[in-house]
Amino acid sequence: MATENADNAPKEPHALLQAIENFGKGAMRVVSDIGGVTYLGFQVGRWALKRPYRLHNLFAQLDFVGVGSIFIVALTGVFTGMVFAHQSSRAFELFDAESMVGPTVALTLTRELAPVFSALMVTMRAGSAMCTELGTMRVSEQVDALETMAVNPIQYLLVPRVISGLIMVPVLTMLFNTTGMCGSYFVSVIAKGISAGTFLNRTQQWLDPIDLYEGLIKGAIFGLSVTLVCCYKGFNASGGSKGVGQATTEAMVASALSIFILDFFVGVMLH
Amino acid sequence: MATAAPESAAERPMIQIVNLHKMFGEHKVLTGINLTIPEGKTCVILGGSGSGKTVLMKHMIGLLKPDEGQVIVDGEDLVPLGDARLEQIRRKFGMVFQAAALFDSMTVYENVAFPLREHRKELSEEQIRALVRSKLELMSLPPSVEAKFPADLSGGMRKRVGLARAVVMEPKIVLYDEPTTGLDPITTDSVDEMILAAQARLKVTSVVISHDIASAFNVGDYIAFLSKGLIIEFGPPEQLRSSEHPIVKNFLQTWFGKN
Repeated sequence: MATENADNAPKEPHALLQAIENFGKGAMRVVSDIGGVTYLGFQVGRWALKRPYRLHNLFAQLDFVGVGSIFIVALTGVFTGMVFAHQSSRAFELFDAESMVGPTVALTLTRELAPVFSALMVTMRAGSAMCTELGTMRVSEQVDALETMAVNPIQYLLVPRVISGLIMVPVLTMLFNTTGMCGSYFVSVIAKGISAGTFLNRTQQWLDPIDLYEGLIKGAIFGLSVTLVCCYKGFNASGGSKGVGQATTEAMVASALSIFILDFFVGVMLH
Repeated sequence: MATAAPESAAERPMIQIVNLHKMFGEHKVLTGINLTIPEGKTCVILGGSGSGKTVLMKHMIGLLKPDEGQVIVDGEDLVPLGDARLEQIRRKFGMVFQAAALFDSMTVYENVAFPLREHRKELSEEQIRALVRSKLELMSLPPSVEAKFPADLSGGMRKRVGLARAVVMEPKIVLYDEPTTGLDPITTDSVDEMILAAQARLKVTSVVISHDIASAFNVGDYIAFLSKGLIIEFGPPEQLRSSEHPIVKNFLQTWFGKN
């Protein structure tokens, strides 16, 4: 009898099979999320073109995402420029090429660091707030309330947020470039004693407008992806406050990953 | 199965549900609902948890599409309609949510004014103010609440503001999703009175989704009993009370037995 019961009991799956199954489930979820975010992007684009255009909502989001991030992006820019100038000047000192500090910092900032760091700052500051706010609205039926009042929630809630990311991350990228170069100038010229003329002249010589455009294009793409990911996660949150917390965590991880992955592919495509 | 339609032929149907089926995955939620709700009356859809009440209500307002069947609102079938026409139909509805679903980033005034600002662009700010004030007064809310945020209100007051927002566009139909769930007995009575007062003054058709038997008998002109995705009893409260259906009897016994 006992043997029969033991035979009938469900068998524990093999650890390897379990691991493969978990990997498969995770991969399916990632593919499903990428599809969901892409579809949401198309829906946002479609609703952005339809009337009514709620400019008040758009300006409120531009203010929140852009103006609200000025201080943190400027501060990050200053210190990034300072650290980068300090480290690169130590390296260039080894072969008497300190004059290359300015252009090196400028090219790295404009092409890579400014769009990536600005988008990360926007993700942490505004993206998390977007995801939490939308998630709370979803679980407390405020999104359903909008629908029952014949107001499309994608148009009312998501369109201004996504457009603000698309516009404001490139603007913040320019701010990051500016403050980063100021920080770099301070360390190179004032602290390290590199000639101001050399620093500025060499930077101007090596930096092309195309480098700035590359950073701005990246900034726009990151702004779009970050706001879409955060809106997607918040908009589809479920399961009360725990679900909102989980959605926000997932949104932060997915947004940061999307920045680094897109950075590589956009960089390759632009060259 | 009970005939889920009022006996009086004189009453014009406002909502008609015909043979409604809905599945989520393998799970059958609605299994052939037939229900007619007459104009100007209050119909309570009573049933236990998981009986499909909320799913049925979401079909009435076009938030869900059925797998089979018709949802006819004011003479028009919602099922084949596209998004644009559905949004127009939804303007015939006002909905009061279980937890009021007020926008917590807006004040009470902004919440009630919201549908007007979205859909009645021709109104001046003075006209909007007058309409908002009149609806708040109708719900016995003083002007002092206008500047408050939803988080500063009690549960009962939030429900009143939710109803003021639901009726500010003067809809033909008001849907109430579990209006008395989680409220104390005194607040429950006041919410029942609020529903009856709104019904008397605005002459709307009301649909109340509830599992609160006392409240259902207080406010309902008709009560539809929903069990396992099917309306198993429909009629005026007294008819439901004398029902011989074992599930209905058992459900009502839980309250009438104690009271």
